[in-house]
Amino acid sequence: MKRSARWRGGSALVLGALLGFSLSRIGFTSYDELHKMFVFSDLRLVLVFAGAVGLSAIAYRLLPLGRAIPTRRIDRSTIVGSILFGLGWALSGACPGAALAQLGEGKLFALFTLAGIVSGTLAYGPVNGRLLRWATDSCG
Amino acid sequence: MAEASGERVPCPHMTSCELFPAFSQNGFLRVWQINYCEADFARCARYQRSLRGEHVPLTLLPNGKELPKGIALQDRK
Amino acid sequence: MTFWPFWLGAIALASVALGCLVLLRRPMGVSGNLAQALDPGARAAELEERTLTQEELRFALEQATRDAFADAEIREAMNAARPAKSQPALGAPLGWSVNVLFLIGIVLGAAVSGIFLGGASATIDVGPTYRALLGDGPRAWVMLFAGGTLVGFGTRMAAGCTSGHGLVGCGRFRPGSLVATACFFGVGIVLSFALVWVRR
Repeated sequence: MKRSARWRGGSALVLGALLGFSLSRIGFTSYDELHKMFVFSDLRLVLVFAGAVGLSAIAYRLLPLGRAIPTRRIDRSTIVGSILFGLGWALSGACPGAALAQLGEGKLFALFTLAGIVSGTLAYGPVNGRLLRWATDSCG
Repeated sequence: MAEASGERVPCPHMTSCELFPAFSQNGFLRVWQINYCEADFARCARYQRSLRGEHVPLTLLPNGKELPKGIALQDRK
Repeated sequence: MTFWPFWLGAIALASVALGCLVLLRRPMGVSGNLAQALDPGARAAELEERTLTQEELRFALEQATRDAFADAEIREAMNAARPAKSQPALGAPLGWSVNVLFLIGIVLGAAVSGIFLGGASATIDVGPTYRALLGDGPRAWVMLFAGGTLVGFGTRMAAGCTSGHGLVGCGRFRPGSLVATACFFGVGIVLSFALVWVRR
């Protein structure tokens, strides 16, 4: 148990580093680049995303992953949550991974973004538990 | 919610619930699946806790009781 | 700083997503890592070092089942027909520290990129586009915080972000993820156009 846990921890660190490195090199950490994607003035980021999805789709076909990836219901949580996320993304320029990558790059203003992300993440539990009571699709 | 119509909407948290694999495979434990996961899952203590955004421990049963925590003390290699 | 061509970026992101599935046995999802990292319950669970084996868990569950239900109920459930659709189960959740390490990895990986390739140093410059659309200085920081809050809250409500829903979910053609991705991209596009329009 101990040994495999350390292996997972190490893998997580390496995979995270590859993600952060890639997000930075692709330009997901740059509001200039992201904005160009959103207003269709430069399709490079769109192609990155579409390409990654396409490659993943092929890989999932070829590999025996079974049904390890869960399906998400299409309900108000999914739709409203995604809308809120999209608004925040265009407003801050950062999805959660990109915000962390910005910090790594030295973009100190990302601290404000991250402070917001943390606040929003923490607020969700009490707000959903007490006010909304919408199903979360997750028990673990 | 779904009691009156008689239709059974299964619990939306099934795929991520740590206890669901045990409930759905072992015949003896299927009684939990039939009474909670596939019936009135809103009664499930695990479901309720997850709505509050709190961590749902492996040892929490749908009826709110907890499995004894110190079951296994030896390390697995 | 020249950015990667699109195909290199695509390969990189797809590889990381695949790596997560193969090495960590969980679909990639940064918002999920973050939610777990911030969850004190998850940390407590890891610290308890539960090492239940499957047999021990099953035994304890069977005891608890006998306490909770009448024998007749249990027998009836055992004889009941198997449900037609059984949902797939995820791999075991990542321990708290594994989630944290992934997040730290992101920061470090980006730091390597910044230092060795872009020659980046610490900056508070939000960039020309942001400055033009949303302002600079404290005004921008408020916007960043507000945007971040929407991101944090929204990704938890939708249970996924660009990596979880966008990359992994869409790659598997999960309808829920396709809808989610369409929503957050669509809204991002609309808001971005609106910001430009307002500034004119």
